Order: sequence, then structure tokens, then C-alpha cells
Amino acid sequence: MKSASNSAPRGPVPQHKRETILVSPYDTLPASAFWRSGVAEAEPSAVEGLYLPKFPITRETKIMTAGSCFAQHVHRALVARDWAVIDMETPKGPIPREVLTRFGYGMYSARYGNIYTPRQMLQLLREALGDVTPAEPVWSLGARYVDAQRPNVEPEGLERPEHVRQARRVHLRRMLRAIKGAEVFVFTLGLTEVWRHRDSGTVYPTAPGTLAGSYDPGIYEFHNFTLPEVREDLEQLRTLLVLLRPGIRMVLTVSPVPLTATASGKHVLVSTASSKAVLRAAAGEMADSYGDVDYFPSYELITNPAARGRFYKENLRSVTDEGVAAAMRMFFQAHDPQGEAYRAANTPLPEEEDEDDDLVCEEALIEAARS
Amino acid sequence: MTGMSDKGLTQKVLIVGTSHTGAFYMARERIKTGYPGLEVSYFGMPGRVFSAALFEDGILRMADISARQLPWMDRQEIDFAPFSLIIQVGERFTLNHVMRLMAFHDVLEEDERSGRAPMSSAALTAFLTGMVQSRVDHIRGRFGADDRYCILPAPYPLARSTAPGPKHEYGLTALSLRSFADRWMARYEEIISERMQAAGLDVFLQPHETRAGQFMTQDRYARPGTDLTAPEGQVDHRHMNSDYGWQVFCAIAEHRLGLTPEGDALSTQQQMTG
Repeated sequence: MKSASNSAPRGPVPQHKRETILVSPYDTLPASAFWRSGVAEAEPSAVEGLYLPKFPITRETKIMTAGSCFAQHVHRALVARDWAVIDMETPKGPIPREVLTRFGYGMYSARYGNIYTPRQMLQLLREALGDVTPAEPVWSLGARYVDAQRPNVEPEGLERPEHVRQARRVHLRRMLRAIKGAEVFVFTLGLTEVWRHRDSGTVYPTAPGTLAGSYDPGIYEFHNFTLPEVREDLEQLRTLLVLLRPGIRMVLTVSPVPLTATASGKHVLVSTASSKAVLRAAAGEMADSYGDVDYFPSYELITNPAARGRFYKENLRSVTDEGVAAAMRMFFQAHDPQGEAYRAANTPLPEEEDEDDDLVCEEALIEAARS
Repeated sequence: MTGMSDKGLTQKVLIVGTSHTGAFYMARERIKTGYPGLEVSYFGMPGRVFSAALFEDGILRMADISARQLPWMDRQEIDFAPFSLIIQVGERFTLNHVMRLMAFHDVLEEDERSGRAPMSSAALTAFLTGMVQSRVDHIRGRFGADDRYCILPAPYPLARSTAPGPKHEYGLTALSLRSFADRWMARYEEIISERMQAAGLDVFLQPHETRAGQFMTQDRYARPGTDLTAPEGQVDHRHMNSDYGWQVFCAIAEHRLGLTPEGDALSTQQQMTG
């Protein structure tokens, strides 16, 4: 039996033909339904109909962001556009972005660092609610200490384990506040491969011994989440989010960034394809199952064969600025088509917040003149 | 007076910058008397006007000629070329942000806990450095690195500004209640000195004899009629009087030119420093 993809016509049927006879169910489909017109002949940075949002998101919608590396781009783009993206932990002030990033600030709605798997996000929520206590929460970094659940946020480590715990307690409270204030939770799925604690099942964002800690095979083990596991974690995540913040909606994305390395024993290309396929399938099933869960196809936009790899940097892994811009343009055009005009009209003049009060300045100078 | 033995040879000094130039202008007669070998010019503008002023080919000119012309400002531009010392007054090095950052976080490595968000010493140091560096880059990018420059930060607010009332310095007050404030403000100043030196710029921090503690200015340097009994619009805890201008000028003259004031002015200066 021929599959639909093999028997389908190669493009939309012209209008005059449609009026006379219908030869197949594909005749009335739009250009976006056909590979040639929808992909091969389309400009990859502006593919029409790729993202058809299920629910509106506006600049006033309170958005919480989390996920793997690619989610940072989403967060930054929302901030740059002055959308109501939540940030519970970043200090105010003219601190250069690269300095904030080095310490895990300004990347997401709270300072949790990269969250690669739905299990990690779920575990974080449960920890914040007091339902679980992660095993081995503090890892050593030379003579200093880091939070095993976010080892990147203090690159030099902290002086004492107690400092790690104090900082984490406050972080968890802030994270919960972020969720309770959020209307939309944007979550980028990154990986299926994790390292976890054998006895407790605690998962970690990095393998012990890479950034900090040390690898003991008796304590830690590798695990590659299956589709049913990812699906179940996303189900539970949704349930918990809705419990904490009734009415919250989710936007799921899949990171287009390939695995840096795999511990699966397979080739990294195979593992990447497998991992992304699982995540993509799970995200799609969630979006198909729930009206309050949507899927944002940044993965498809970046990995589109028509782009011929141009959205990847030379390492064929990191996404280029053009790729990020194309993905975010797709988001903003769907949700805020007049955004550019709004921005141009409402961008405040640069303010020197630290300036002395102007009126008093004038007074001081005038008085000097009288002296 | 030392360092100016050749009569008839005068050095041209420019004091340029924000409204904080006013304190120096008000002290101009004392400066003239105390330093007869110096020919001092003054070019001051409100902070925002100074920020917007254009600096091209060694000439600083107001960007907006309709901006308020102050009575003692007889020109809209100044050529830096004739001056052998250019004192740039009023840079704040993101002081308000710095104070709030310190006041509203608990530093993990410090003992004091207020229940506010914790921050590591490493992060705080990096943030202070980042904010200061952005100002250093701005100064250097705008004016270039020139041996003739001496950058003088704006004075710290008066100690009285921590009292409730108009122009209350909220960040300063909150910071003054933290046990680690002096230590971290000293660190902030070290960072300013380090980053400026690395950029080839000379910075002259507020002389300690004018301060009340590490990061406030003594109330005796307040301008008359600006305390909390004044009409609200005239209350001012940030701009200093002529005594401050004189005191700081003397300190810079000694630092940069090796000069001390002559005659009566000398005794005045000595009285000030105690």
C-alpha cells in the first residue's frame, strides 16, 4: 500500500483545476502542506504557517522561562522586547549582561541555570514544595563548593557548603514565586540523557566530575529517558504547575542544539537524533492532548534542511544569531505583529538613573553664579 | 607655596563637568589667591546636559544650544588644548546602583543576615567591577586617555541625607545599616582605582578628611539654605559648598601639581584639615 507521502501530489492544485475535479484529498490543502512549496521553495528564515499559536500571548502576559541552553535566547529576546517576562533574582542596575550570565543571573525567570530534562524541572518543583530532597546536593570544586543542581551559577564555587544551602533555600522560594506569578510557562526541552543518583533517582544537570563533584559509579549512574518517561514527566509537570498556578499555560519547545557528547554507547549523531525525536514526540503529544499546552516549532525552523545548516555556527552545534532572530521573529509575528511599531513609539529615551536630580543641579550652578 | 618658583609662568587648569563644578566655582576667589601661579577656568553644566555634550577634536560643546545658559557660563564650548590639568568633576561610577546592590543583598561570606537575597562575594565583586568598567569605558571612549585628565567622582551625599524627609537617600541609608558597608565601599573604591589605572586614567577619590565615615560627606560642607528646613524644592544633600570646593582643590593641586596654597588661604586649608 502506498503511503500518503508517496502518492500525494507535489504541490497545490491550481484554482481552475480545483473548480472542475477533485483528484485527491490533498488538492485543497494550502502551500504549507507540501514540502516543495512549504519548505524547499520557502525562505527558511520566514516559513509561513510554521507556527499557528493555540492561544494568544501578549506583551502583558507574565511569562516564565526555563529549559536548556536555547531557552536563554528566548528569555533574552522577550526581555529585549520589553515583554512581561518574569525575573525573580537578577539584581537591578547597569550590570553588563555577560557578567550577569557568568553568575547565572538574567538567563531565566529564576537563577536555576539550564534545566535540560522535564524530570529535572519536576524535581526542582517538588524540592521547592518540600516533597523531595535531592541527594548529594553540594559538590566540591577544589577546596570550594557548588550547588549540584546548578553548578554553573558560581563559577568559583562558594567558601562553605552552608553558603550553598543558604543560597538554594532563597532560590527555591523565588522560583516558586515566579511560578505563582506566571501566566505562561515557556519550557525548552534539551536532553533525554542524564546522570542520576542510583539510590534516590535524583537527577543532575551535569555529569559528576565534569564541572564539579567527582564521579563514583557506585553512587551515580547514566540514564536515557524513554518517550513514556518524558511524556509522564511532562504530564506531572503540567499537573503540578496548574496546581500551583491555576490557569497557567505551557509553551513547549525543543532545543535544536545537538548533544555535546553522549554516554549512551552509540554514535553522538544517532543519540542526538534519538534524543530530539523523543523530546519532539513528547512535546507534540502534550500539545495535541491539552488546550493549555502549545508547541513552538523553533526546532523545525533551525534544523530545516532548506537552511542548509546556515542557522548553525561553525561547530555545527551552536545556533547563530540569525537563527535565533528567525525563531523569535516567528514567535513575535504570531503574537505581536505590530510589535516593531509599538517598540519604536514607546522606547524610552536612555535614562541615566544615577544622574543627580536635574532641578537641584540647576540650583547648585545658579547659586555658584551668585557667589 | 611650593613647586611654582618661576614668576610669570602660569599653569592653566580647567575644572569641567556636572553641577558639582559649582562648589569649585564658588571657591574661585580663594583658589585664585591661594594659587597665584594657576589660571583656573570653570565649565559646568547640569548632569544631563554634560552627558549629552559633544567632545570632538579636543573641544567640548553643549549639544543643545537652547539648554539653560548659566550666568557664569559665558560660552557654550571649551577647548581642552590650552590646559595642562583638566579636572573632570561629577562622575558617579554608578554609585546609587552600587549602594543598592550592597544594601539589598546578603553577602554570603559576611556574617550578617537580613533575610534578603544572598549573593556571593565573587558575584558582588564581579558586578561592581562590571558597572565601574562600563563607566571607565564610557569616559575613555568619550574623552580618550590623556595624562592631563584627573577624574574626580561626585561627592558622596551628606550624612544628613539619611534622615527622613525630602531628598532622603534611601540606598545610602539602607547601606549605612549594614555591618559590611564600609568594607565593601572601600572595595568599590579600590575597583574604581584599579580599573581607571588600567585604562590609563587618573582618578582622585574624595579626600577622607571631607567624609563622614566611608561613604558620606560631612554636613559642614552643605550649601546654606538646603537643609530639611528649606522649601522642599531647595533641599539638597548632594551638592557641596565652597569650603568643599576649596578643600578638594587643594588636595588635587597637591596630588597633581605638588602645590600647596599661599598665605591666608593656606591657614584656611590647614584649619579645614585640622
